[in-house]
Amino acid sequence: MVKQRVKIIFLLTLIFSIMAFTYVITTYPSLKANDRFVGYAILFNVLICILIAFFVQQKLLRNMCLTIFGMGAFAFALVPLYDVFCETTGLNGKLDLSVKAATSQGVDLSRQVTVEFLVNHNNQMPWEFRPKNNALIVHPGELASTAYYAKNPTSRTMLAQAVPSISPSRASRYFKKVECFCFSQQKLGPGEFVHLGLRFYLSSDLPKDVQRITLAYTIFDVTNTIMQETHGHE
Amino acid sequence: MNEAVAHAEHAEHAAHYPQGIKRWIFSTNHKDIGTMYLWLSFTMFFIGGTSAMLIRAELFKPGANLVSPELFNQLTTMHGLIMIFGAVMPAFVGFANWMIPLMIGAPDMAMPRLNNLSFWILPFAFSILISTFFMQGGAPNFGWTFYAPLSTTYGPNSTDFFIFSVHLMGISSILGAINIIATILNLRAPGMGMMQMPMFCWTWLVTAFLLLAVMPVLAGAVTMVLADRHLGTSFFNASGGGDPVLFQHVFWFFGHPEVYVIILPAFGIISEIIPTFSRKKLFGYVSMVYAVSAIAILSFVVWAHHMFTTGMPTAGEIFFMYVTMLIAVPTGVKVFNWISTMFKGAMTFETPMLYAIAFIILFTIGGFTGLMLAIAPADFQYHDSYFVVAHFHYVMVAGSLMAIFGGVYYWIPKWTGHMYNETLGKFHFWLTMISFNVTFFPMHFVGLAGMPRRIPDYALQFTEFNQIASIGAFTFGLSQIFFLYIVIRTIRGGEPASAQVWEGAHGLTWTVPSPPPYHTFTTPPVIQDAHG
Repeated sequence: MVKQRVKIIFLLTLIFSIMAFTYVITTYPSLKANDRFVGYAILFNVLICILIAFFVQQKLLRNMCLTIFGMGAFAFALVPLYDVFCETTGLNGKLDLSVKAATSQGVDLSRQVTVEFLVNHNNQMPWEFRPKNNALIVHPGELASTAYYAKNPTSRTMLAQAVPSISPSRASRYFKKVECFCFSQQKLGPGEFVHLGLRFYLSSDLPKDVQRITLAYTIFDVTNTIMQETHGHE
Repeated sequence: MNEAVAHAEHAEHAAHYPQGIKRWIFSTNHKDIGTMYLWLSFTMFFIGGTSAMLIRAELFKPGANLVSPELFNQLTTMHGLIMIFGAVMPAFVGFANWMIPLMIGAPDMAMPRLNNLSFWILPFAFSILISTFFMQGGAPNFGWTFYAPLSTTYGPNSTDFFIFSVHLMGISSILGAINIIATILNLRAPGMGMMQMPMFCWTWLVTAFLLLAVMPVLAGAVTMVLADRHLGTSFFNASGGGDPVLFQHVFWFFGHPEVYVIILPAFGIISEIIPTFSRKKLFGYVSMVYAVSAIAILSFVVWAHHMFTTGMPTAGEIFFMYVTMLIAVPTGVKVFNWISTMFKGAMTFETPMLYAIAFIILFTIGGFTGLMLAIAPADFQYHDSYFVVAHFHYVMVAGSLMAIFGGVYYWIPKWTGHMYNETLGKFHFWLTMISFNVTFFPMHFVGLAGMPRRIPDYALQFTEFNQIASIGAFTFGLSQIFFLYIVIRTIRGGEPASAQVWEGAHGLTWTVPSPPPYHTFTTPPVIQDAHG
């Protein structure tokens, strides 16, 4: 009897936490569509796993079904795992897209690093987009700033997202951005142009053999996707 | 043995099953379902083969010849998808259905109705997939690996049908795998321990576990593609915070174990054929079991060797390079054991044995080119060239397909009760063996010289080798029509086969009459000599 009661309490707690989790996924404002989808997918698989664990009596069948839906959850968990893995190791040239406080650490005047700026257009993006400087020579620790020129030559309002990539990828951990237009989407009306600021510093523990860093921005047209998404959640 | 025959005769009287089409639609009989799997596989083999013939016809001469570049892309995509999911995998499930209950002395599969379901999903899945050829915008054209953004941003409308059919195939494979595991673990005749099972059951048990683990990942990958296409997510789209390289990681996490799903049952078939025609027990049975398990476990940690050119860090490339090479060790153990089984055996060379020996030789060549591709720095040269095409056709055609041919010749007397015509069988073997090598061996050289795969045109200097390959491919294709003739001829008549069929065959399979009655082993058999 006691066991039965424990089981029921456990099940109720589980149902409650799943409901709470679903509520968070559905209503949390800053969650992106990706995270929401991953959340639902993992929830679905875990829920089925729990049901199997409770209701399938045969041990072999239960273990097999748990493997299937466990791996289903794992497949979706790969998405956040991949992001975390790339961010912590700096692999793939992915940059930490968060604002860093300006440094107070010392400037290493003994070293000079060339930072080159590249631009790629994607999705037949019609914008004019180019860096003000093709390259800057900076000391590690020194705060540097540059700007990008962007113009929307079309006759409609467009939304763009710039995605940065650092090469060599192991330098991405040491590339700190104080201010970057890539933190948010850029909106430009027909014929409008703008100078987009970029302020960054290289942390002084940058490996000694890195003397040249390339920062490449790929600019995407996200007018349709983002407009839809914000529309959907409003 | 007499007892088994007596049971079989008893079963014959008791056998009452629906006749006509109902027998097949509602079938819960492992033999009928096995037969249906094998015919489905054969049909898909010809459909996939037709697209291969069109590809080779287009590549017979440089320049635009027969098909448009768009159709060429669709043909390569569908050739890969149909051959992997439609021809090779159902063929092995068909073998499993037919042979595993007979090998372990079970009356049927553990879950016969599930078995019926897992088969009947497939015709629908493949009808959906093949119907995309006739849709506006054409069939999927992004290669069987459906890399994002080719399948997300740039995929044709039919991509959604492709996704749904892959979901169905995945469900079918998972249900089949559940059934096979349950059968092997629960329905073995009393006295047959795990280590007394025939090798084919072991390889399928491991394969089934691989399927359980990776099919959900494939389902996840196609679901993410679907969400990217229609639900506003951007898993594989950099502008929305995703990453196209993530797709390749998810896909190959499924894709590499899938390669072993395709080859491990082939290892099992070869491990049955070689001892029979060498008239010796399989050399190193226990090491074979451990080698299969080791291959299966390693297959989960090597996936990124398909992605050496995506800009992985050096540490990653070194790790995946060495782990990939490590797989050669258990595979080498298997090849060593097969050769040792033949060593000093009283060998005869009937058609199944010829296929088994060809398998060992050609699969080893394919394995060596695999090792070459595993070398990360060298892979930058080989990547996406015809060298890769040659490599995977050596392991999949000369590996899986030749094992399937060998298995069909080996067991068809048991299935039909008739011996096939040995002269015709040998003729088919030599046609296949020679035309296969004529087709795929030149591809190594054009690949090393820089001919890229998946392109409907090529530089002029590759013309001769491509013409040789095309002639080989047409011969190979025609030989398989000849194979169809042999199979039909054997079903319709021929020398009656004895229960043992082959002089050196051992095990429960060969104690039931040929063809086996509708129900076999309704009472568990007495184990005398489980594996040969």
